[in-house]
Amino acid sequence: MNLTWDEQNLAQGKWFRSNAGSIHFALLRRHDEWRVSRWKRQDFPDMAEKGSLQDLPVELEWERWDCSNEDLIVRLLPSLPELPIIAKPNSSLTIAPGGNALFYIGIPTTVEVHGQCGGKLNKLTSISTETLSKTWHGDRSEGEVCYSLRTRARRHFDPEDWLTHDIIVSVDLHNESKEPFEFERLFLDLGHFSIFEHEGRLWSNACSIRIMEDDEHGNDITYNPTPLPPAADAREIAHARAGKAHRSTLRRAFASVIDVIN
Amino acid sequence: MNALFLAAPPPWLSDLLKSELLWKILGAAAILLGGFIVISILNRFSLRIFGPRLGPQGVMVMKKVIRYIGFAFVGILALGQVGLNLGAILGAAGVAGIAIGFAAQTSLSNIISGFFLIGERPFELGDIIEVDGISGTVDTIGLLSLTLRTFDNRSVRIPNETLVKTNVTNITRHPIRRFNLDIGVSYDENIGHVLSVLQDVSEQNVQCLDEPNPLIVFTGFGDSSLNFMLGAWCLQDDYGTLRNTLPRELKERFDEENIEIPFPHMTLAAGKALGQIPVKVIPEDRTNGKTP
Repeated sequence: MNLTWDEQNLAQGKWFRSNAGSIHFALLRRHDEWRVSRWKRQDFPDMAEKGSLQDLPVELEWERWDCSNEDLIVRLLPSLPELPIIAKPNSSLTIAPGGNALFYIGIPTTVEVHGQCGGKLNKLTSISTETLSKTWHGDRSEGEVCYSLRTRARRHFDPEDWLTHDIIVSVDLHNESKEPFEFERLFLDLGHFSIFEHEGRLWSNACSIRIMEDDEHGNDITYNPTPLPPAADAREIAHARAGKAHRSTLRRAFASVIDVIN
Repeated sequence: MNALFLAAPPPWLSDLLKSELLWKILGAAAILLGGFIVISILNRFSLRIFGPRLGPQGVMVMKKVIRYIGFAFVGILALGQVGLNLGAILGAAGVAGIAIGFAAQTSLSNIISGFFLIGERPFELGDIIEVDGISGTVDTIGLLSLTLRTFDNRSVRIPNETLVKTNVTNITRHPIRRFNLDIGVSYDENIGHVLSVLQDVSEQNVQCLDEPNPLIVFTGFGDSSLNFMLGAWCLQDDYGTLRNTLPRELKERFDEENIEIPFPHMTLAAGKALGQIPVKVIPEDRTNGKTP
């Protein structure tokens, strides 16, 4: 992922290309418009990273946004998926009573393209680096649509072990119940996570969850202000969508209500 | 100013002011105006109290009921104020009511059915329902009937009585829905392999929900195929897309895996008990040297 998260100037008639995962996209400033085109890597494999109008393949399809002649600033920002996620480890792990386990989960980034319109930066479009499948959290009459995420739920952070377009979320589970806890799935609302950059990788602030006796009545989730080491001094580049929170209650964090009912 | 009040009114005006009829008419007008205001207030007040419980269609019907009954009541009071003999009018209305009642049995039945529907609330405005094989979106719910807008944009009026008597399927009541796809494969295929391919295709499909888990069943031995059923859950809004994408993706994957989807085989046999077909050989001289 060759992305710069800072503001950039794009002169009239100029463009640049970036990629996020297998998705490539180009941003063009032309006339009084911002234009964005996206494609799969294999469609235009030899395209340069920037250039002028004559270097662009004519086959590209563009989305367009109106702006004024003086609007030249553009910014790319990472974001987490709009919907909550249900993270399922490929193989479940049992946590003993009183024990705790730290997991790292990689969530595919969505790249937001912000362009200057009338002097202010406005979000133009979002580009998902991966298409996540949907899932349902709740019973068949009532519930919430989420994204489904299969994860290896790694226990240690190894820089080589992550896709560059993933946002690394660390979840520390504390089993404070009297029973062993089998971690099979986790409902995670992403609204209170900010995004940080550290050595070219994206991180969210860390969180820890206290597993109580009864999942139905809620588990405490605590949000750290920063990611865990080695990214503890990372730079915050995108604020939490739903604002920062220190602590909240996560009801039915682990239960698949459907399975409970059946 | 004083001169105006002190001056005697013209004779026609003093006659009119002395007339009892004028005051009766003014009284009736006041009753009508007051009644109209009271009905409006009552309508708003009752909507605020009962509205949330009744839902949009209940509100619509309740408004009409309060208005009709209120206006009838105010009208009777106004007529009484004018001096008409209400007993005679009500008596005549009673006789007429019996006659109209006989004539309007169906309408009354529809109105009563409408009240049952409001109480039961099997559907709401905007729901997609199916009644007697007709599917569409509930457009309006009235005292006598419901109007469905079909998917090809026709408007179908269904009497409330029909809705009470027949099966009504509410397609959009719940937020998620299952799409069932029956599929047959050749008898040469491995059942376990086909089941795993079906599982994989449903997992790869973007509209298919991971939970509830897709239902994948081997349903039995068909005439020409091994039969399977794939029940994939999706959001109501994604149902149309899933209906298009899932069969296509399944066919493409079956082609990749060389899984054959057979078409029905039919063996034709002649005669009783599949006996040999009799062949008669014609000697050459009987055909004048020409072979037929």
